[in-house]
Amino acid sequence: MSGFQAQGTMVNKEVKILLVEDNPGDAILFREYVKDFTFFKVDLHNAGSLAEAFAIEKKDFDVVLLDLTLPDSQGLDSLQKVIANFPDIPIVILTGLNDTDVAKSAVRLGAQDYLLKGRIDELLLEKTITYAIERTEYYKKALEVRAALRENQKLAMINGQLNRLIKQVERTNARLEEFAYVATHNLRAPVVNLKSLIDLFSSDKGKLEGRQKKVFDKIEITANNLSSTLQDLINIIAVTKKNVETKQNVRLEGLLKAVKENLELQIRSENATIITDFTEAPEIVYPKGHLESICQNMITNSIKYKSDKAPVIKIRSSEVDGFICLEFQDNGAGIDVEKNKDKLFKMFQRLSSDGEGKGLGLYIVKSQVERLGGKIELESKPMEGTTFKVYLKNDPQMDEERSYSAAG
Amino acid sequence: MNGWNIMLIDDDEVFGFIFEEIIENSGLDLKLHIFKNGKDALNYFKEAGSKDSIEGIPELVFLDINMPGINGWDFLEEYRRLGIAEKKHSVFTMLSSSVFDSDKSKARQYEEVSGFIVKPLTIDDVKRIAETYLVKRNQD
Repeated sequence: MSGFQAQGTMVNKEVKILLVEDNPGDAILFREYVKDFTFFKVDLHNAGSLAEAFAIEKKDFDVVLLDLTLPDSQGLDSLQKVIANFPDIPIVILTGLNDTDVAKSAVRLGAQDYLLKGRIDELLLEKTITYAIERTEYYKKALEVRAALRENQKLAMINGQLNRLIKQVERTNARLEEFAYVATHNLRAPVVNLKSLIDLFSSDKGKLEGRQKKVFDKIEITANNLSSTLQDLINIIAVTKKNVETKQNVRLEGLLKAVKENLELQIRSENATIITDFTEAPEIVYPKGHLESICQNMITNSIKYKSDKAPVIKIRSSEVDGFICLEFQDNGAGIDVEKNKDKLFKMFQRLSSDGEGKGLGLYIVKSQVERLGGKIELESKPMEGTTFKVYLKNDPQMDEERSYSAAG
Repeated sequence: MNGWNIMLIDDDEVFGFIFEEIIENSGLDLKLHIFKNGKDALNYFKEAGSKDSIEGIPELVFLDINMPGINGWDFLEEYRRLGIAEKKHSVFTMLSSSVFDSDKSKARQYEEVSGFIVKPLTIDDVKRIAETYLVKRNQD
């Protein structure tokens, strides 16, 4: 019997009772009692011994009425055996002994109640059975609640551990950022000095010959590489640090014009053509510096990885799923996307040995875009060109600016 | 602008050499004072300020921000306390190696400071500063 609830609803319920009783007279008496029950119907099974009771296959009884004195078992021993055989089923003891000590012990061992034979009537029996079943139901529920509570406590503990871990990761992250900041800063001073020294020496460069000139040339190239790699690193940290400007309404046409001016030398020397179409989405609310850096990196990337043909880069904007999508389509060397999937946006991963890339451009763009809730996708085929789609959140949520101590 | 005093305060020895070279190559006839720390520079100011003649007080000072001990900003505070500016104004240009500096805004808070340069310092920078401030001063 499940869903044993308020008494009024029990009229139509059937309660399945196992009566373990060897005295046929008593058994008949019980059958009579249960017939007169007010609130539920009874399906009564009688077993004359423990052996007979345990032999029953379907143990779906709602309650067991147990006479402690049986042919194959006596006293509390009978109770313990029944508990072992019918776990979770409430047991009511029937005893002819006017011995409350045994009765109390029985309750301590797990019986729900006890009834003294000869003092039973149908009302008492019905009430006792009802309470025995209800108490057991509630006890089961209480156990479930306790288990759930334990589970909750466990979850809370795990949650606490997670929070501590997150804090730890955040601290480590902040330390790493601080480290990168200090490292680039401390590196920059000597790199700048080195470049200045080379500049100072360049007027004497003409006097160098043969091996000396070669060595000096290599020093100059090395210093330039060092300097531009460092600058790229600084750009990345500037993005991560976001020591930035605020967002503003940016007209893409004007922005691209400025970017093209910045890249004028590169565009002219590679004979590159840039075609723009911003009619679908002419403007965006975004930090302008980020946008400039993104466009600049994408164009530089296209030019760097051009094919034999003069680079043609088509840039258009559109609104897609709440994003502003900037599409950069080129006719360059293309990328085998499947083969290079893992490398594409990682730091210092160059996919081609041609060109002068240091492998930072796409990494910078990706970190910039993702920081403000956007994403970047590409389609490409080798020798046919590449299309990058940069999805930008219009009017993105900006993190609070973190303050770093400045250093000279 | 000939014969004027120009001072560099920077703990970076290599930059000191570069600075000397830049001044030499600039063609400007300037008397150079290089100090590797703020303390020595302050002592110089103190001594120059105590003389009757103000000749030794530099017209132009290039001041590095990040130095051990007294940094650039500390130096400016100490310099103010000396009251030398009442005798003769020195025009300060702050120098920094860091591109992350938010100190540009801080520089504006000091009326003594008229410029902020993120290294490298070039000959053109020095010429421009010399022309702007020394020529202007000549006209005053």
